[in-house]
Amino acid sequence: MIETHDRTETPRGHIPGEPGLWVLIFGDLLVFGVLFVTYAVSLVNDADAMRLSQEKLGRGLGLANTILLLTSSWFIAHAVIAARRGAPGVRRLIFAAIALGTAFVAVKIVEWGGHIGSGDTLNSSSFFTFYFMYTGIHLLHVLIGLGVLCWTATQCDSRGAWTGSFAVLEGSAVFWHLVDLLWVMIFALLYLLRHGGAA
Amino acid sequence: MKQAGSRQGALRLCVFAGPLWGTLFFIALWPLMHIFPPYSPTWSAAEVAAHVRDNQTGFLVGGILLMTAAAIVWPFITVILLFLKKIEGRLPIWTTVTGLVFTFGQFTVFMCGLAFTMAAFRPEASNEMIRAWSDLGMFLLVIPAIPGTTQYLATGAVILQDSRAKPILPRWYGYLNLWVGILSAPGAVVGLFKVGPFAWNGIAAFWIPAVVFGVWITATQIILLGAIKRNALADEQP
Repeated sequence: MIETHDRTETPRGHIPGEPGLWVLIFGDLLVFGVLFVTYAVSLVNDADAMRLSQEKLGRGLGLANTILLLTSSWFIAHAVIAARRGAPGVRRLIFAAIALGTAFVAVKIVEWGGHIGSGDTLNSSSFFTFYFMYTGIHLLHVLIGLGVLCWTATQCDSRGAWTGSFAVLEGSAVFWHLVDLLWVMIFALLYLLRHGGAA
Repeated sequence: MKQAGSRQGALRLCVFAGPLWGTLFFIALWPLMHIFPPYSPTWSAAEVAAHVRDNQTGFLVGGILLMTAAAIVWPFITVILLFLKKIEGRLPIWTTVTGLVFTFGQFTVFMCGLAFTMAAFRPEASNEMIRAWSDLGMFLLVIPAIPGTTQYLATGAVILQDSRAKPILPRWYGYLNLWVGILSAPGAVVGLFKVGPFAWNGIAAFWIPAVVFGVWITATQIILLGAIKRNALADEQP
């Protein structure tokens, strides 16, 4: 069993990662909440034009990315479980999460490339502004998250067992779940939800 | 002991350069230039020029206040850097990065004041000329969020690498810096849009970075005053 130096661990209740991390998590959720409401208002007020652009979005690629990111999150959750048990193979699980996250980025680039190729760019319509900006801000989160995961992968020993602090691994996993959660919201709002206009 | 006390007094005084900077900035933009909230990027040259001519003195005095703000903020920045250097110790890489980007950022504040001064200096100039300078002022107000992102991420990295049992600066403030850094980034794109949430008067490119920055400067004063009270610069934890 690896000794824990976790400052935040208390006998009753446990805050994943460390308390300060949640400033970032809830702060980010709050701001994305504002962004989502802004989008929803636009979707209602500008229903016809939005739907016309929205129909050009491939739900298949969006769904593929959802599955990639959810599976990636599953791997990182299991990395945390394995690290708690002191088991080897944590690094393998982190690498799997990184690989799936990288595949998400690749799919995103293909998707963006397709839209740009067919002439729908940042400024083409208000829907595509939302689409490129929101997925772009989300992609920035994915890249930061991948950086964090790569850094955690360096903190395993030769058997692949976790040697760092649990707060670091948990905190990284929490951030990766945030990235996942935001994507599920974006997928639901931009790809799936269509406003039918006035009822 | 007495000496330590007076040093704390000097540090506290330095911290108040931060709110003074913010106050000058806000007075310039709001009651003087009336560009808080910003005018719409879709305004015609005649509309922008009329706004500048109507508030000519406000623009000129506001320009002076912005340039003054860029000149008096340094003690505040220095206190932040002293604490960051204390955390990083002998190889203060990210403290230096933070300091350099801070310096660059204040240069853009100075240039912003200068651009608005140019816009208002000759009210008889053509509408297009006045709008061009005023637009430059608006860009200099919002776009420097790009280097700002580097600065906030560097500050966050310093604070989160502090391995002392009692950190010099609170860890939540490190995470707050990461948050501010990530959310400042959308300010970078205002050149692309004239309407919508990412235009320079939009919710994502103006209001969110503005509110987030307000949270940052308030939190920074609170944690700096707290760290000065604890005399954290004299902390001798390994």
